[in-house]
Amino acid sequence: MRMSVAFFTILTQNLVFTRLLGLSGFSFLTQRGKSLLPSSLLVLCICPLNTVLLFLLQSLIADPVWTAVIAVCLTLLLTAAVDLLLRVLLKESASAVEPHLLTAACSGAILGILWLSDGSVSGVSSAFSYGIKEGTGFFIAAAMLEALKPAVCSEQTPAVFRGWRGIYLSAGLLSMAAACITASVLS
Amino acid sequence: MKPKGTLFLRRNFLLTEGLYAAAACCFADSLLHAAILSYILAFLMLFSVPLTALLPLRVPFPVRILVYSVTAGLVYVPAVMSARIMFDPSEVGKAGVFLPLLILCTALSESCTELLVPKKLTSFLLSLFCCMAGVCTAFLILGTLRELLGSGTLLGRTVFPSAPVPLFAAPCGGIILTVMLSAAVCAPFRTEKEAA
Repeated sequence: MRMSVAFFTILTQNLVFTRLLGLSGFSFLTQRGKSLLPSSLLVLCICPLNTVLLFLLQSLIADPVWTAVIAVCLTLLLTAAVDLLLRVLLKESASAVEPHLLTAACSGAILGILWLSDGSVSGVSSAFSYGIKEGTGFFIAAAMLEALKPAVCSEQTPAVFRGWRGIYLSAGLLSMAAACITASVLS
Repeated sequence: MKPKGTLFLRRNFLLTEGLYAAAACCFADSLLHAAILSYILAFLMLFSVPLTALLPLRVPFPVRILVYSVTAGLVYVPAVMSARIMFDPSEVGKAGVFLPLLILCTALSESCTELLVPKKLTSFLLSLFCCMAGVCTAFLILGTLRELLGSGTLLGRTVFPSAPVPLFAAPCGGIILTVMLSAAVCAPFRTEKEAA
């Protein structure tokens, strides 16, 4: 029962459908003909680490504006370090990973900042589980949109709605469906 | 390939690339909120892009993105502080996560790195201004439409006795409206390759 409630919450209350976070990254990848799954898998890895890092950072900096800025810079600093390392190790192949890494870092940073603004986490383990939950929700939403991609990018879709606009419309409709399901369950 | 058309539309991150969509769809549900977003975005772009343009192009892409984000992050703090003076601080506070999102979305934009390519100062400033004005105008149009249609008000004053399309006040309605606006604005400037 507890597992099914958790799954239902992740499916309907994830940040992609409730606050449309991560859509810019999806648009960035769709316009480059990349899959959404590798990036969302990276988000699943980055998100728990990011929330733990922010939890530790939060105790040092009191002002939320500065905390948000430092969180963004720190996440991108780590991403740039990993990206440069990949460039050294993989040479030309690193360019295939680069867009996924960048979008994952941006999404991971924003999910972390959102957690900071919620301020509902009390310990490191709680921060880690929040990161896992939001990361999983993000991955599930990305998988659903990736499954819809062949349809929204096909020639049967009007040309003007093909690509990122189709993905956005699908996300909007799924968001509406998630809100309706949640409302009906609550009522 | 970028759509042909005026600079104002071609460099519009929101309408041609779908960036800032979360901020536009979730936070810009009224003209006031759209104005707050526009103000902070304009502040970020006008101060951080020229500073980052000083960086040589041979610097690797991840480092360029990082430098941009750090610069934008440093500009973001006075931007939020001045927004709290110009607008109602409680309304600025409602933006929450959507304000730092502006830093990250600009870092993602390919057009932003294009802006940094060395060119004549006047051309650079024109590109920057068009880019900024395009996104800010799109935010303001969306905010106005969403407040009018979704709540039946404008700047808090009642225009319609009941909201004509309450869906537009919600994030899912916001995204539908954003896509419709983007399709309507960009359709005349589509290239032949894109239309095929």
